[in-house]
Amino acid sequence: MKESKQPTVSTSNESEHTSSKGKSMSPPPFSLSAADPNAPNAGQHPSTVNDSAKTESPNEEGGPILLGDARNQDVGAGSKVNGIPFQQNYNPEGLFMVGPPKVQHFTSESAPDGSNGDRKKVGVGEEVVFYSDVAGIWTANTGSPANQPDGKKFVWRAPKRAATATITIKSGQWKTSVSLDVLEPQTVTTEKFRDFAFDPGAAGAGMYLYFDYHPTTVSFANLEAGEISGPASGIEGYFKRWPAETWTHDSGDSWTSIDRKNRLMGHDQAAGSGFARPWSAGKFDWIIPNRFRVEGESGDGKVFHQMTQSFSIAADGTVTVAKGGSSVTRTP
Amino acid sequence: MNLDLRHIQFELQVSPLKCRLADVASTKIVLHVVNRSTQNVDTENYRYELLIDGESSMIWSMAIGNRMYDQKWLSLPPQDSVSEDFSSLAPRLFTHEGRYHLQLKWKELKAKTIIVEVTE
Repeated sequence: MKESKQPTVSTSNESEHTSSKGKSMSPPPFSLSAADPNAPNAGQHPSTVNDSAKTESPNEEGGPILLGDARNQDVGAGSKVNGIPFQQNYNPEGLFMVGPPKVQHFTSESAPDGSNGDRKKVGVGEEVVFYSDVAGIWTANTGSPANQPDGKKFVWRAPKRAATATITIKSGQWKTSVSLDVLEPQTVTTEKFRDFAFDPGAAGAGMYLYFDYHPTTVSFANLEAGEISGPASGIEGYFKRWPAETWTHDSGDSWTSIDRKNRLMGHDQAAGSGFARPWSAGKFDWIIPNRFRVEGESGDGKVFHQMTQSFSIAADGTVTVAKGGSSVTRTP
Repeated sequence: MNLDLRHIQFELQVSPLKCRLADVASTKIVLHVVNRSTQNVDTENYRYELLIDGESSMIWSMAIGNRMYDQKWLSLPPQDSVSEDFSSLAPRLFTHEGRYHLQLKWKELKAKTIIVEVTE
């Protein structure tokens, strides 16, 4: 983060912000005004004073931003402001500042767990909007766009896969970087919301499931997810009456969008039915690869989780189907 | 294959109806359901059985019962429709040369039989 020619202050924006939830983004948090550069907190927006900012030399005190009209100030080389060596840095509006750009960011989607929009963890493909108090050149080490020539606002989309993203704004000699952890889905849980209603006397059981994608500390609203078809394993007893291919899982290998609550937009069905008499004990499993991809991405996506779906039948025709922590058992 | 069943019209669309065994994988099989009533309907898609030459297809039952579906399948608005592609089943349904009699069934009601011919 250090420039070779001029001292540069780097900051991390970790200030608390409580107003950004949901789809709407907060307005730019900074206003540029001609402030008194000698005032103790000149230039600091009252709601964005960053007590936890990490700074580097030369400003060990947190890098307060001092804004003023350069045309009316007589601050030359060797001058100090608040005891700090003055780095003259003009922004495009003719104002000068001492210290790095003050940056805040807000995700366009809130996280299902209620985390604020200025969180440091984001989901793959999430959109994040960065605001700076001064215009500058924006760069991102990953995601898109990789850079933006000038401006106070930078709309950025996280990469398609996990990464540590660093977004930097450089204004004059100064620059500020913000690091974000970009997370992929890690697990899927299921929630049963209804059983199938098979006719009395028939051997079979089934259920409707919701799929929830984790962690919920980030938003996966820009993702699609799906299951991959595959063979059955551990086929025993009753189910050996049929060729093993009969029990192959055909998921359709389709893609379904994830909503703002990190829940599949739609539902999953898990069932075993049509099991003819005579019944006897038996079982088999599916180990189902779950995959994701960012909307607009082509290809097979990335497998991130293996979910087991198990089927069993008892001698009395009782069928149990279990999947991802949910299950249904039904006796004919 | 069309059938008006109270409020729901369902159809199994298979094309082509005649193909070579080597080309079976390209056969399109689609279940199409239309709500002809004036209120939302649960399609209860797990009740659709596929009879092949009179025998209930376990491959079909396992496939239709174990997929991700749009929520519309549970509450299909009036005059709206839903479809699901089961083409991936074709190689397992049509494993050899011959004529296959396909009939979609919902409880005791059966739709018109369609014939798929697989040649060498």
